[in-house]
Amino acid sequence: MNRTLIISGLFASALALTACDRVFQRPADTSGTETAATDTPDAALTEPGLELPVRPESASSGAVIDWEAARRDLAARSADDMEGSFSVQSGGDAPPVPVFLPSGPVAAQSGEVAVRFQPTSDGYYAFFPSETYDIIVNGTNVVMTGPDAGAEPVRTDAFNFQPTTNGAQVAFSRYGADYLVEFECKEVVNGMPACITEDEAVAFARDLAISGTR
Amino acid sequence: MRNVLAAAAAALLLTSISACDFVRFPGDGGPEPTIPEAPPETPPGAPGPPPPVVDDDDFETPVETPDGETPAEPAPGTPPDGTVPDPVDATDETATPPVEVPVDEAPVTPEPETPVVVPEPEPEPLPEPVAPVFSYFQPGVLLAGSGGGFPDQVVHAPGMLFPIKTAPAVLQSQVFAFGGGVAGGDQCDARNYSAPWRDNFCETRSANRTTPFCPVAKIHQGQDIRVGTAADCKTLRSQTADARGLHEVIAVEDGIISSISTYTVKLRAEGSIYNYMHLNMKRLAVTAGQSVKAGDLIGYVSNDFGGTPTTIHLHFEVIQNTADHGWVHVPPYLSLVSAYERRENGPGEQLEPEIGVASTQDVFIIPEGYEIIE
Repeated sequence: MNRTLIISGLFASALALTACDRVFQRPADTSGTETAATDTPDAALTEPGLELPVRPESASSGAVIDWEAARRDLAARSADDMEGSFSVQSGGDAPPVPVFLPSGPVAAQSGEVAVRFQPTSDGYYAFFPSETYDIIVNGTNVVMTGPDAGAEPVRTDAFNFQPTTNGAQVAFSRYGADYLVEFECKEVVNGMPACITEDEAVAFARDLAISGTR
Repeated sequence: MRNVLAAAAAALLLTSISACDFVRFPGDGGPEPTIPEAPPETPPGAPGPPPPVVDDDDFETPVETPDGETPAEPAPGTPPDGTVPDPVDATDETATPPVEVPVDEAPVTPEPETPVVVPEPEPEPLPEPVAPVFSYFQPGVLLAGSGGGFPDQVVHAPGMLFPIKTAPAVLQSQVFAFGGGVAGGDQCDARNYSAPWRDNFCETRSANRTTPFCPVAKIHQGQDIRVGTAADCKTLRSQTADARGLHEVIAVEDGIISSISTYTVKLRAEGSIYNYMHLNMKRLAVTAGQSVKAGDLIGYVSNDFGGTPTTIHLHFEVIQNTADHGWVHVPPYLSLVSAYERRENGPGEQLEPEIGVASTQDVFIIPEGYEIIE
């Protein structure tokens, strides 16, 4: 009997100790430190957002257009000079860059797709088909600047010719806007487009005339 | 005798309840432990031993001292008012003042000397690294002997979509890899579809093409993209050219299809022109002059090249109006890497260049009478 009592007492003691962390559970501390410690495991369980590599990027900006000079040059063109050339609307609804187009008559050949002129949000493009190559004249007021770009670049009146994978291109600048004339060869000889020479391409670009302004 | 034993058991029970309180929550209103001897001097802030682990076993199996003896019961003599000296530094003015214990509680049973230390919170686990979805050599690291690249580290077309809608892709030389005009072999070689991505802008060509972004003239003005798998390649090769329609090519930006020529589709966007070459020109999904949104279908990967077929791939060019050079071909490689990462929602792994190959001065010498085309 005595032994039973002793064992019961020890058992009761052990039971009390086992339960005491519930009995004396400290109320949740609302201090900032404790709260943060409590929140940490939950935050760790949250799936972190996937972050892809961040790399230096080019950024676009708008060119400043010298509209006054463009209007002056357009006004200087004689009516005879503009006869038969492509007509482009001028004024507030005109493209956001002065429009350069071939000064002479441009007509689609029989069976060819038509000439197209398309204003865009940054300028325009005009498409002219021909027998051996297609021509696309692009104008833009958007400039892409790399993160390491230096001082404000100086544009010249130069015509920059480049052979391309499918023909050639000539780039030039006027009135603060930038233009690109693309020549798309219709035939490839031995895998090489050779439908236009540099002289021909630059001559075509030089012959473009201002045909519309705001 | 029975009464004595019952009283002893009750006393032991009460003692245990009192003891467990301060072990877990010192300074919480319970009695502080009575320290038989002053602890060794501990510098403030020094780490201490780990907190005791209390479980049932502690009360069933006595802990032995290093010499194998069971620790002696603490000597009686706790002050009757229950106050105890601070176990760390009794002279510290910032120390917690002694806490009084109601005198009607059972006698305090001192615990063995165990400085109570609040455990340091475990460091926040670092996020699991995201497995790369592809690997690529850095920009400008061309295939050995294929020309001198430009180590351009700029995304020239930020935000553009990858030109292939869903199929896996490998950016790679066509001419200098398996099945190309220089390397020989089979274009559907499985190794062409498992290799890390590699820049081939500025790669050597016979035609006198240039761009300010390449160190020399006679270069490749775009990036070749092999699409799908080797099995896809074999499937496409077995089909007639007009029937090919396996891998969708999409508009990378909003814009207008400004031109469709023999083997090129031009997408005009703001300040940029994207050239898509070697599509199946008989199955285009767009017409000249059509406005498109980024992601719209343009056509399908093939090998059209104006009557002389090339390998099955997409040749992709970006022409931009740059501040420094005006309208020129810009390196598309890193823009494509970033676009593919966004498409796959996972990062690429940039590989270190192999030792002894490819540098910006590595210029391929074209053998006399040899033409390197696309």
